[in-house]
Amino acid sequence: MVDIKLIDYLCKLAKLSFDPAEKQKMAAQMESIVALMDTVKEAEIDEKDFPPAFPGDPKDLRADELKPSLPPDEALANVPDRKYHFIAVKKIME
Amino acid sequence: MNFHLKSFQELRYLLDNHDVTAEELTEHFLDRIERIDPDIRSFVTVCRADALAQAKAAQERIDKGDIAPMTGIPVALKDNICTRGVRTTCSSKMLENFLPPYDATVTAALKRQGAVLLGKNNMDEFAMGASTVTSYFGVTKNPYDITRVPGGSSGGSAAAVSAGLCPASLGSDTGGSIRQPAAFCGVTGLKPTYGRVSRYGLVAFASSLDQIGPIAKSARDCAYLLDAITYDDGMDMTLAKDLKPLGDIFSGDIKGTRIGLPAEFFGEGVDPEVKEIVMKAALKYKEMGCEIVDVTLPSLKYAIAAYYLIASAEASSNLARYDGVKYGHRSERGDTFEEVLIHTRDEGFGDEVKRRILLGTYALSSGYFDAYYKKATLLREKIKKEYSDIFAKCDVILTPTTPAAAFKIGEKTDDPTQMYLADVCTVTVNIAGLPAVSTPCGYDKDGLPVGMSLVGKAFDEATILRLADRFEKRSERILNDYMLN
Repeated sequence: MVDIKLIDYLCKLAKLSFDPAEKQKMAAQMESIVALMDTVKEAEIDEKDFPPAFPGDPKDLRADELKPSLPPDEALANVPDRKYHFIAVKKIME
Repeated sequence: MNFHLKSFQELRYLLDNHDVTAEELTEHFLDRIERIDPDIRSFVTVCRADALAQAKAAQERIDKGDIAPMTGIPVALKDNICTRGVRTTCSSKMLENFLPPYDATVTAALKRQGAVLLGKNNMDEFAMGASTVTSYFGVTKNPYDITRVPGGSSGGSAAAVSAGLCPASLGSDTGGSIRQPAAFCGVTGLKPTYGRVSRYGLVAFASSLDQIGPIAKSARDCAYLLDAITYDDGMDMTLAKDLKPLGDIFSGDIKGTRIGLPAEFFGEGVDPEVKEIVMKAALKYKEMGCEIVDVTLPSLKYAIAAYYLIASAEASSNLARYDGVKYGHRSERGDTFEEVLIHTRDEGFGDEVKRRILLGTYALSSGYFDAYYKKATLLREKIKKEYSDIFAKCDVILTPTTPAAAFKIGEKTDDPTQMYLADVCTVTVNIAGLPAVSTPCGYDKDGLPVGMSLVGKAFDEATILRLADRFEKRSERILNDYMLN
């Protein structure tokens, strides 16, 4: 059951917000989406038969070495609020 | 001359023989975009000045004999593929003004060959959708009927190719986002094997499923473009090692090829007209000497749920980076970092993106993880095993690309689950990491294109492209009015 309380909890985790009307609509839509997702519960699978596999081999990670990279001005060109080579944000501590 | 009707090989011939210059070719497509795209809205950004400068440079290379396969040939890119200095929006307010400081591997590969970038194609926001309706920049229209969607999420790419606004475009496919719009717009789209094309510089949606691939007028053009973008710059650890170009794959024989028809893809929920058209295509292959084999993919009934759980879980993680700190939209509202962060995401993301983030967060959250995300990953392995069993009996699989032809704009907007269910024919290919090509196989009673998908074994793009090419050569392609004018 997807209710407003669950939407509030998920919004807190996902850093999202909705006004009351949007929240109501989102809860109703999520209810039918979750009902569709419940299909997976019907599948009978033995975990031992299907150990999860991950793409790529961790051995292929790039070596941890210094390589030429973007100059700071280019790397920071998209920062919304910048002071010199620093990123400015609102206060983090209350 | 109707350059927009030409194949890559024909354009290459014309350029190399100085029958046309790269600048003239580029002007031809830019003029078409200017004239036709106000109807279709397939481009978010058109790079007129840059394209003409690139064309000039390409012509200088051609004149000197320094010619690569893509030198002087114009292309477009879906707007989630990074282009240095050209905005890459993902059709989202969040990235409306984002100018990447680097090129994606595929962009760099094309530039190195002297290709001309015409512009960036519209898409569903962050590639989440099957209609292009979720784009912040407005819906793209289907060139066969502008009251209908072009499909998605690479809807702008498919519509642009279909209307003759570019010879080809690169799209991305996470659950069908190249094949479904290709089917709706009557063009050919290839989703390569996971690991065939570097994802470096592709804005991440679901990293274990995403793959870049070509949308073009034919299987031959898809193969041509795939070879042009197959390049390992060491930036994507999931890229396969020692990849070879496809080369000449079209001279081989298709007689004796075993084509599997999985019954589940022709059952309930698939439009009878689509079913009939795809079955006729199967018969055509039989006439060409292929063997038709009945196969089964029993877990298809769980595929939509498994796909949406995995994709949304990965999306909720990938999209956590949009916090308004380093790049992208930042809200003017809020007094603390936390408040600004929440307002930023509230203002920057559209409804579908928010729904997917919520679903992914739900599937990964404590108390639900085992029942949803973990179960979906187990299903992923089961589906891979079922495909492996199928490929013991046949060489390729033939299915409809979509359960029905292109739907009306706004038809499924209010019910997200209806939109999700429409992905049933495409998502298992991404779940299993396989290659698949969609090509038109007929037209319905409204004159709308119907696409069929040929699914191959991992890294066997050659076989599916060869089969698609043979079909294309023996079937009539009905072009839309935009392409013809």
